[in-house]
Amino acid sequence: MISFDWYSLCALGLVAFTFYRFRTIRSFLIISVVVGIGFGIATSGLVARSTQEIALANVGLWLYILGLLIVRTMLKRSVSLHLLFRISSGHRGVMAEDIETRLEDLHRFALVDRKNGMNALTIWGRLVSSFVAIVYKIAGMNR
Amino acid sequence: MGALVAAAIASEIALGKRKLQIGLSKVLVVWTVVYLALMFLLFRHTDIGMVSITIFWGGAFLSWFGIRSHLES
Repeated sequence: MISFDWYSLCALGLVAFTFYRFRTIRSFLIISVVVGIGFGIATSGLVARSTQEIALANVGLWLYILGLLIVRTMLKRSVSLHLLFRISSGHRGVMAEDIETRLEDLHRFALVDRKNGMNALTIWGRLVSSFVAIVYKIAGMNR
Repeated sequence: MGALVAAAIASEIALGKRKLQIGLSKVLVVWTVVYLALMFLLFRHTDIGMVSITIFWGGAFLSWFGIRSHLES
């Protein structure tokens, strides 16, 4: 293995360790981006087998960060996972808080508007939901 | 890029109407087969090393899995 390979493996290991050690989305994102940028700078001056190899490893590392970021987001925000955890640890009756948080997110991103005490999709919300429906249709996902 | 599209399409075919978590083993087989084919091709025609190919492929799979799983949930 050449030194470029070792640099790649170290960067990958650092991102994996960050995912394991830092449970908040913000911490993971900040440290991973620093690792990604650092890897890009450090490897730009290294001797690799080809420039394609450097590009491939860099793109791969960023894809790895993106994938882990999505997984971390899902783990942090999954209502059903939190419910299972609470049931297993003997806590009940707080699932509504999780759902309320999700509703607040919809408000924050202007997807939903509150009218007369009821939640309704905004025009932007309708556009996004139509797009998602088309993606479901194309991918043949069962809803 | 072609390998990624091929893996994504083959994964959808392998999954059928099943949920991702249920059909994950089939999806892993698909991605492994395409990975081996990609590695064979790149070894023959370029001088890219195995570590870079593996990092790229692992990252691509993780991203695909995250997006696919997020859409499904």
